[in-house]
Amino acid sequence: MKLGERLLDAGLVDPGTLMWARAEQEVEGGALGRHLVTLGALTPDQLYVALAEQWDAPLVDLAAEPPEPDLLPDAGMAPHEWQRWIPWRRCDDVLWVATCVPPDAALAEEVAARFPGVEVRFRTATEAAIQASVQEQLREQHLFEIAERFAVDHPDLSAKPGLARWQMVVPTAFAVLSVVGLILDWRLTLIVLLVIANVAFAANASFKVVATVFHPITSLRSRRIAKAERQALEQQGLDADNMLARGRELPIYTILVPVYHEANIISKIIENLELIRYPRWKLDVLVLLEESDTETIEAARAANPPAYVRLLIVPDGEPRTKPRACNYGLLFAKGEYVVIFDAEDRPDPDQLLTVLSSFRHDDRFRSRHAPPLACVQAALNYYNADYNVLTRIFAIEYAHWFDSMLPGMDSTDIPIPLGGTSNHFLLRALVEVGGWDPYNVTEDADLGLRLATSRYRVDVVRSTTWEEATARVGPWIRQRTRWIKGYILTAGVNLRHPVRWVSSNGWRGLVTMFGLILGTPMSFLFYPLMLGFTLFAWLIGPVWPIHLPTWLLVFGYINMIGLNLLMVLVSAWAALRRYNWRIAVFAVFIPIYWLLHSYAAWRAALQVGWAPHLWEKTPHGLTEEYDDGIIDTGGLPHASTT
Amino acid sequence: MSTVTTVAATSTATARLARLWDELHSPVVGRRVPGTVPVSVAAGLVSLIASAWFVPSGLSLAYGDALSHLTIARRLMDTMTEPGLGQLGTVWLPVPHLLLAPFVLAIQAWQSGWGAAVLGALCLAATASGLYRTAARWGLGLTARLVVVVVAVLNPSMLYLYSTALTEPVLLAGIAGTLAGVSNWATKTRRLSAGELAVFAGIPAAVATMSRYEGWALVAGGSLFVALVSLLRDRSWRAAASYVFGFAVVPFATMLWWLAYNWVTYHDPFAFIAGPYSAAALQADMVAQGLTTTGDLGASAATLGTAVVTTAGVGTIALAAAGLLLMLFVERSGRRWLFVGLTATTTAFMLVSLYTGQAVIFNPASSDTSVWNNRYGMASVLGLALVIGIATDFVSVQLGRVAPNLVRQRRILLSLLVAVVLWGQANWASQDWSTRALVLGEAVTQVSNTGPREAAAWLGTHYDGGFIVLDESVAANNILPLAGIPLHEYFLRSNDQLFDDALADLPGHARWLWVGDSDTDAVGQAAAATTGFATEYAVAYTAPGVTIYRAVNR
Repeated sequence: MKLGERLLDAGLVDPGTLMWARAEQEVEGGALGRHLVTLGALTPDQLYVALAEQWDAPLVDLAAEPPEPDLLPDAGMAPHEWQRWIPWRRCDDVLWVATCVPPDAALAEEVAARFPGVEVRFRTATEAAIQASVQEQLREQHLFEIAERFAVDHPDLSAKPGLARWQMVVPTAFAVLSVVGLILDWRLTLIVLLVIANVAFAANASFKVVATVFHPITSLRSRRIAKAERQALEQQGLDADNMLARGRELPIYTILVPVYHEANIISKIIENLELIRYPRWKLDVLVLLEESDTETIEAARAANPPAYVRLLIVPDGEPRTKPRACNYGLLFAKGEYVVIFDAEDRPDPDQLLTVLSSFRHDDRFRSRHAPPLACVQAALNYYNADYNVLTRIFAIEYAHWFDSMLPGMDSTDIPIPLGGTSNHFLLRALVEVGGWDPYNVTEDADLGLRLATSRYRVDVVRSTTWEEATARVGPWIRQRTRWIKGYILTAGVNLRHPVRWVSSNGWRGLVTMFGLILGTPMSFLFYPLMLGFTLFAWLIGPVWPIHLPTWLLVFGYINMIGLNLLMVLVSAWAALRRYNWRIAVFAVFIPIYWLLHSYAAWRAALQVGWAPHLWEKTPHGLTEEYDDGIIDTGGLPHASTT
Repeated sequence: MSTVTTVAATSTATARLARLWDELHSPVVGRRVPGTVPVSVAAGLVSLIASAWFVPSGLSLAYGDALSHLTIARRLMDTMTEPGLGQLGTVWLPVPHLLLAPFVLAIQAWQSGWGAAVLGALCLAATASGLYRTAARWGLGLTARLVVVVVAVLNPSMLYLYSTALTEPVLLAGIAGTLAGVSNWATKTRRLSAGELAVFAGIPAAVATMSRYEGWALVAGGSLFVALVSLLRDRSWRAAASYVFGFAVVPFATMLWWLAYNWVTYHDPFAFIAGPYSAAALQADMVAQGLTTTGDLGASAATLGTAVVTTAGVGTIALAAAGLLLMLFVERSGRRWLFVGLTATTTAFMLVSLYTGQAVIFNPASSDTSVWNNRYGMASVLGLALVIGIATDFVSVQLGRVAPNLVRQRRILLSLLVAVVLWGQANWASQDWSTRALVLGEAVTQVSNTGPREAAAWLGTHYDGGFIVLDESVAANNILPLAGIPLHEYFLRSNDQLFDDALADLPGHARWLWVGDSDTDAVGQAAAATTGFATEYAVAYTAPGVTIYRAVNR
């Protein structure tokens, strides 16, 4: 008896629902049972009771009767391979296997290959039960995989040891020399410091401005290429608008949502995910919860997530970072592609399809010598941009970064630092390069460089994920400290062997490294000196001048006035296109905003020494809905229509 | 364009206008205040139209101070010594000159006064939009908001002031912006951040602070307002301190800079209060002779009151008085008094200044012979206009209860009432500016001092190069724009050592000399001390108060 008939007979589904599920199966493929669960017509437990009968493999409750402890490690399988079955009991030459997929001959062969010389018999277990058993049985192994595997396999690329000794000594020696120099010859020392400050600022600001200027050029080039490709397809009689396979051919897509202390917005995550346009049964959503965060775990369970959402509890351990949690998610990911969304993210509903289109396009049109596409970065912008001054300028910064600068870097083969979320990976490529470094607090920037070094490509896509900008100065500083600290660590890790790194990554890698990764913290560290000196020269200098070389003064003015003005203009332009003039006009405060960056940069520089892996969590859900109405000032209500 | 397309476009435009009109009448919620842009544009245009009368008539260049401000602004870019911020000087605050500088780059704009008029139009646009938004945040309906703007903008003295290079337009724009900013902050249901207060109220306050010293009083009053409102709302000293800091940090930073500038330039951070170029020093003789209201509170109040009445207008005062009575006896809203009190801050400051001798006003209340500085009462127009708006709204609401269906008629009636009052007072003032609109009367008086003005005009048309030596500290600073000669052609006292060198050797430096009648005129003194002066220079032009010499055979 087929599953559908069995379920009808048992009264678990009605004919209309069954017909609907069969229609979806016809279009999208996949198992009927999975469609019924996704539709909410069946619970997973009800489905597996029916399947157990169907398969003639009695259901086993793995919580009540857990697998024998030594069976899983003996199998010699990688942790992420335990998705569909696990060995349950061994009795002499008979091995009982709990499975959540049909126990056919192919499965029996697969098991036999791992356990030679045994007779394989099957019991049925739910997917959730198998996952829970795997989590419990392989807990220690998983802890190692997610926290230490990367450091063991790639010691030169891991941030676990922090900065190299020489990388700590050089800045310290520089600081000491500066102090001594100021005492012995303050003018000469000031000149040296100002030269360094100006060079760092010029490198960083120029990179951002030039990348922005490149954007229209790369856009034009992309449009021309797209036009030529369309013509080529049409000449071959193919539909250029149907490059993306529909329904049946869509792959499973894993979405990782790491959450920590976010009980207040966990229900929002579900709401935002429900808006994504993708076949539900092909979505593999993993909400990653920290074991010690019981409040959020309870809230997540109470939110009663749909069937395609799994709550995955990350075992307690160090370092408690987002990349560590994401590595855990990778162990259980089923998809061909994987993306990270943060808890408060509101991605564009078509983002997965848009990204998939990029990957398919790359498969079809990439030239033989071009590096394959491994990651696509979507644009991040803020839905609470106009909440206050800080969010406005933050939104301007992001509009410039994701709408102008990154697209400008695209197609230039310069390594692209990824954003914290909405980076879509080809899962096998991600696993190949080692996943995320759990010890790097900007695991995204690090991964962007690592993909480039591994001869993969990162592209950007015109699809937006809306996030919540940090609205308070304190959390903003902590967040920015982490980002800058991460950039310092990423630069330090990659430049442990500078010559080797340069020969491996070439001048393009060098441009990103010094223009952005290292240039960002350097320019912010020295920014107060530059700004302070410029203001002094302007305001008091006419009557109390400090005599410095003219070329240095000119260099300083070009930086402070010219490059600052250019940054203000390109940022304002990006914000105008993304939002409106009311947001864009706040770009004039960017030079002051950078003082906050400077404070965060100094904080980061100190933390690199004493707490390189500290992850200061940014609170979310504080400005979800805000009301800008006005109160009655007394006497006359605001409903006056006179 | 086809007929169909035209019809479609027209109906779209009509629908859009209808939607905009509806929006104007909707309650103001959120950040946007519909109508701000049209009000600003209209005010700017009105100012330019008024300037089209004042500028060609020469009245916009009547005030000596206005000419001096034009000179300082021009000097930032055009001077014999190094142009730049170092050219800012004396005790006048710098922002009006900095704002004016780009508008006087073209020498014709500088000489004619149109550069100042254009800046004035922008300032009036800003003032009008600030008042309009303030009224909106106070909960006033559209009719009342427009009445507020009209009362301020269509005031003849205001229109005149905004056509000149005097500093009041920038100050008033800053005050209006500050009022709008703090009103927005105070009336929001959500607690806005201190940063938003700093941007939307602190920056306009800083503009006011760096325009005239009334702005400093505005910051003090505004800080008190912010503290009170915060304490009433949140009952938290910490929150109040945070908001006061947010409001005051930007203007306070500018004040600190000004102190530092005085310290570096004059070696005394408070040189602007009591230094040799301060108002107190320049007015010391008048105070010593008992010609001012120093130390007499009653006289100071009467003088200030006369200045306010003759600048705002009797009708405006009457309407505002009615508004205050309504607030006192009928509406009885405590909150509204906080707002109104804030608008009176600068007026209170002026009263204190008169009493302490820092400021001097002459009008019939204090002098039988002189009329001077009555424009100091101009800032009160903003508060008066807002109070009239409150009264208008109250009456409108009461009328609405009596005749709820006659919406359009109510608006027309109220608008007519106000228009009649304003037209009436303007018409009455125009019959005798010298006593009924003292700001304009003073302008007429100053422009009648034709001697130096005619000399400047003559020099402008006859100058043939070779440099001019002129001591601008003896009131000649305010004729420089009238000559229309670039400032780098002058040896001026502000050129420091170059001026001294020129005085030491007049024939070796300049073909032209401007000598004032005053005994303290340095050029006159140098000429008298120059051996063979009569053979080197000949009188080229003479007028009451000034003689112009030209070098002989050079």
